[in-house]
Formats: sequence, C-alpha cells, structure tokens
Amino acid sequence: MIYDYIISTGDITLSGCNSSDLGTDTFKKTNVKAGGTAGSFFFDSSLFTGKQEIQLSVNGQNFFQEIPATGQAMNEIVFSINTGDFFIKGQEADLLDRSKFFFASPTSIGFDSSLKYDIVTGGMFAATGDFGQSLKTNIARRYSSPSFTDYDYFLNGQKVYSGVGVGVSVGTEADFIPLFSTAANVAGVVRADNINEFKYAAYKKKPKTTSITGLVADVTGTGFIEGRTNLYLNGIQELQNSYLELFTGVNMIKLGFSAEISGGLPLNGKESSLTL
Amino acid sequence: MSQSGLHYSLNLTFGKTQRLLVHYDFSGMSGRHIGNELDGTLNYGVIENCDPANDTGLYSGVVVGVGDTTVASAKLFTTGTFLNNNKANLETSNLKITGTNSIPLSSCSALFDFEFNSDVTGCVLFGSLEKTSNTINDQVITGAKGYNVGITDRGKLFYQGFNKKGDFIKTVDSVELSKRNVVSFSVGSNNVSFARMDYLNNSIQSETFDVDTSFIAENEEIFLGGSDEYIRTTSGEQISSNISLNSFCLLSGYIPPSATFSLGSGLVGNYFTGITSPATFKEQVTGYKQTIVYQTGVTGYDYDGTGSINISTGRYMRTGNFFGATSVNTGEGDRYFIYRSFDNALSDSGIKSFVKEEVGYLHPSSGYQYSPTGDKSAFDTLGLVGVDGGVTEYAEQVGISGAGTIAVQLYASRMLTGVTSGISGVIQEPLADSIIDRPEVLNSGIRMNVNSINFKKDYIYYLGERL
Repeated sequence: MIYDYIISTGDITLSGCNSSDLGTDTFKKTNVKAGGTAGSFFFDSSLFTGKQEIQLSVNGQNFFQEIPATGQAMNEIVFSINTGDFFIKGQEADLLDRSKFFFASPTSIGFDSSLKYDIVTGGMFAATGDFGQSLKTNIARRYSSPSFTDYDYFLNGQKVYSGVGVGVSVGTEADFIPLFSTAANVAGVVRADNINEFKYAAYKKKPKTTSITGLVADVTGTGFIEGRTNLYLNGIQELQNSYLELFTGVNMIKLGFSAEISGGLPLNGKESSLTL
Repeated sequence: MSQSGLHYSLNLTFGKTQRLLVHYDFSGMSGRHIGNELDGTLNYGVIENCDPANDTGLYSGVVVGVGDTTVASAKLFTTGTFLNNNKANLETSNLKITGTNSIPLSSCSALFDFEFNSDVTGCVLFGSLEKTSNTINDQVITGAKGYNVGITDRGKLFYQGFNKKGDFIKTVDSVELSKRNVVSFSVGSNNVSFARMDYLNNSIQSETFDVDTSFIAENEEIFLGGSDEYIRTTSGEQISSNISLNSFCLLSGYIPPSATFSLGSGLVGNYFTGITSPATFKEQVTGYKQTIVYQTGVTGYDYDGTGSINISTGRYMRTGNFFGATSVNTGEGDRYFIYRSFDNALSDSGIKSFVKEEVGYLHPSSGYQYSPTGDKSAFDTLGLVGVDGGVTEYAEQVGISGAGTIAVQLYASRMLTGVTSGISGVIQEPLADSIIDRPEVLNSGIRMNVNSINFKKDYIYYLGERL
C-alpha cells in the first residue's frame, strides 16, 4: 500500500493561521464536501472566482475540470469539453446551474457518490494521446521552467508517483518530460497499443504543503494544520473521516469502549452529559 | 412581509414556486386570518400556510403551547403572546406543522430566519425525529422517523438522526451564529448541507456531511421549537428554545447553499420594483405617406359645328327627266327601256337626271327560264314561244345645267383635358411621431430593510453576551 499524505504546514512562523498574504487562506478550500441529490451535485461558488480551480474527488477518483467551449444554438447555450471529466457554468447560466457540477459522462456519477473537492489555484493540466510529451507542453504554456517535483500526477484519475506510474523520460528535473510508459524507471501501464485509453493530469502542488509518501500508514513528527490534509491510498483519495489527525501528547481514544451510541440519548439529562 | 420577496427569489432561482411546500411569515399577522383547531375540548390557534407556497390549504401550523376552551382565548394567546413583535416566539409555544407525512424528509430543504431572545441555549429548530419500537421474537427493534435540526449550547447548528448504528449527532463546527441568523439545511442523497447566509458580506458559510438518508422515514408531525426526541424534551409540544422565528419555509428536494442564499434574501427582504430613470422621448420620422401623382393632358377630342361652306363643283351637269308614259305592245325578245329617276338623291341641289336600261321582253309566264324546243329556227333554239305583252315608254327631256354648288358642313376640333393614366411622380410626405428615445430603466429585486446590527458577526454571541 502506498500512503500519500499532503499536509498543510502553514507559514514557517505561524501555523494554523488563515492569511492570504501567507498563502494559508485555505481553511474552507480543502476537503469541501459536495452535497446533492439524484446525481446532481453542487459546490460552493463563493469559494473561488476563477474558471478552473476545482480539484474534484469522486469516490476517491480524481476528476479533471475543463473550461468548456460554448456555442450558441436556438434559445440555448451549448457547452462542450474534450479531455476533462466535468465542467462548471458561469454567469451565462441560471442561478442554480452556477453551482452545479456537469459531468462528461452521466454514468460516472451516481446518486450516492461521495464528492469532495479542494480549491487549487496553481494550475491544472491534462493531456492524452502520447506518453506524456503533450502534458509537458501544456504545463510549459503557463510555467516556462517547470520542475517535475512541483506537480502531482494522475493517470485516469488515480494518483501516480515517481517511479510508480510516472517518471522523467528526458531532461533534468528542471526541464523534464513526464513519462507514463512501462519503462523501467517509470513502472507505468501505458503502452503503444493502449495509449488512447489513458488521460494524464497534473496539478501544481499547493503552496505551504508537504507531501509524505511511503509504505507506512501513520505519519508522525511533522506539524500540520488541522483539517487541511489529504490522504491518497494507492492513488485513491480517502475521505477525511477515514483517518485521524492527532496532536502529540493528547490521549484521544480510550480503548475498550464501543464507538457507537446505542439505546438513545439520555432524556432529561443534564446539559453537560452530552456534548453537541 | 416576505411573501413578495420569497416569490421573487423562488422565481429567480427555480423559475417557479412549486417547490415551496410550507411558508410561515410571522410579520404582519394582525391583518391576516388566524385559524383554529379544536382538539377535544381545547382550541388552538393555527398559523396558515401562506403564499407563495404551492398549496396553502396544507401544512398549517398549530400553536400547541396553550389550549383554551374558547376560540377567542386561543386566538388571543396566538396573537397576543405567541406572535410578538412580528415574530413567532418559540419561548411561549412550539408550532406543529400538520399533515407532513407526504413530505419526503430524506429529500427536502428548510430555511429559517430566527434570532435569539436572550442567552444562547441548546434547542430544536426543526423537530421531526421520533423513535419507534417494535418487539419481534422478544427482540426490541428500534426505528425512527425524521431527524432534528437545532442549536447546541455553544451556538452551533446540529443534526440529530438515527440510523442502523443508532443515534448520532453531527455538529456544524465551522459556522458561527449571530444574534439573528438566516440558516438553511438541505437533505440530499446521503448528505446534508447546512448554510448560514451572511448578507452583510454576501457570503455563505456552509458545511456538508454524510448522512445515510435511506434510514429517514416521513413523519406526520414536524415541530418548530421542539421534538419528541431531544435531550431536554419528551414531546414535540414541550418548549425547548428561547428563539423567535421571523419566518420559516420548507421546500421539496435538495437545494444547494448557493440557492438557499438566494431564497433566504427573499425570506428576509421585500420585493421592490421601480424606475431607475424615466423614459425620454423625441420626435422622429416614423415613415412616409406616399401619394402617386398622375399626368394631366389631352384625354380626347370633341368636335363642334362651326358653320357650313358652299363649294362650287366647277363642272356642268347633264339634267333630264322622263314623262308621258304610254303603253306599247311588244313581242317576246324585243328590246325596250326601263327608266329610273335620280330625283330623290339630288333633290336638295335641285338637279335632276335619270337613267334608262334597255332590256328584252320576256314571257311573264315563263318563269324566266327557257329551254330549246328545236334546232330549226332561232325561236326553237332559244325556246321562245312568240307571245306579246305591254311595256311603258316615256318621252325623254334632257338638258345641261350650270355649275353645281355643294354645301359642306364645317366642324372644329376641341381638345378635352384631364388626368391620364401616366404617372408623373410620387409625393412623399414624412410622418413624424413622438417615440421613446431611451426606454425607462426598471429595476427590481430584494430590499432588506432590517436592522443589520443583529446580523453582524464581528463578535461571538455566547450566553447572551457579545464577547
């Protein structure tokens, strides 16, 4: 199992603050649950202002947001995307649609799907049809001298790691070409005969974060901001309630007691008997 | 009154109002009807579901606090105690929404505009949780209907439910309340979204968490202010809160916080419409009136007599006459003359003449058809029979007259003038009218005329104090 924690560390001088100047104003922009019903899910449109800032996880799988191309038809606006998995609408849509996810394939989302998202501003890039060259081309359009380690990489929505799904084909770390092939230093799954079945995505890593990737489940010895952590298990993002964030020295769990409450709430009890 | 505002915001958000199931607007109740429900011998005031709810005949709210034996006293309690300062004071009575077993609690949304009367204490805002118990094979099976939404002593919204694992409570930790709050909750497919609308900063504080909604059953009663299952109460009629409701609405289906933000503005504010700038007018040519002009000219001629002229022919004319008719016997085939006079033709000029024609006498009984009777003589050859008959002979008188004169009538032509079919041109006459140069600019929307101090959240409102 590959455990990959992305931990917000905050500024070197402050931890837990919510400052736009320090790049730590992510209090409400990480691990945001998307509510919805009957296959329609909604996001909080007040969290961002850009057109492409949502890193969406659907049942753990990363969905890539694409800015849709729009066209006019009789009494309607036609939206279309190519590589992406979903898109959102802007001011041209009615109020309800402005906070709704629109998916490329209706079957990719179920009524009971679990959606969570982060707001990211560093940039997201997608490509397909080769072993990674075009992904580098897309990144280079925004960042002239990108570094391989500055990005998180996804293959068909599953996060891949250097040497485990993605690698560098040529160049140095500062002038790289990502490679998703089956080469020895990559250990990927993309071959010439199945190259069109894969889609690559790269997200610039969030500022003031640290990635800890390894085979050990528990991570200790590093500071973090509560609630602003992500966990990928074998490349699939986990819900935040599937792991604990504990502070050193605090005994949070008492062994031997059931975690479930049964038998109903105590009626007419004192207020202090139940902490809401 | 938030009815007009809510109507506007519903149409703005959904394009229709059908999703609004329940709407209680507690302002301006003095001008509205207060219903009554008789339960046994006790009367209870009824707050009627009001516009723009889809069916105002359903989901009335019963003021369950104090029943009275007379309708008047129950109404007096409702208007004098429960409805206080245009708010429903849930410190005096809870409100029971009736007939709610048709409302799918697993897919609905609610909006509250409420404020704390004094200290912040835990209470139930929306109480539909009810435990059920069945004994099967000596095993007590506990089930539940609905859920509760309320406020903790710390002033946080909470969701209390029951699922296959038993009771649970989830608290909306990230949302801090103020004295007055517009909050919503929306239950969707296995999730619940809470939101507090911050209209001062035009922002939403929201939180969504997972809930197994397959275990949420409908309940025939929903209490505002209490619950059958709550830490401090044993029945929904029991008062749990010290808050006052300005308004409340319940809608069908999951509504995202961004939409409840829009709906909440209509719940709090009033709809307005007005003219930002009046229309300006100007005189402008609106078109042309075209008139076809036809050519005038000679349309024809008329002739008037101008007199006569006598024209001398310049030649002498032979004149004559025949007279003295005598009968002479003549034989068949003999020649004689037939006379005809020109008198009548030239009577006006006075010149007379005649003509004569020499013809042969034919047997009147022959039918003027002869066939040869032989070839010996001329008579046989011609078929003559040798009969006689009488013919008339005349004496002739001829002479020469002088040169003749002919009178000729003279005429002069006169042109007739008028309008011909030819077109000489078109007269274009511009038509002008006063038209709108710039139309009036209308504006409409929601105007919030409420005291903002209670909405402010630059403090922590805790235990009745600003910290």
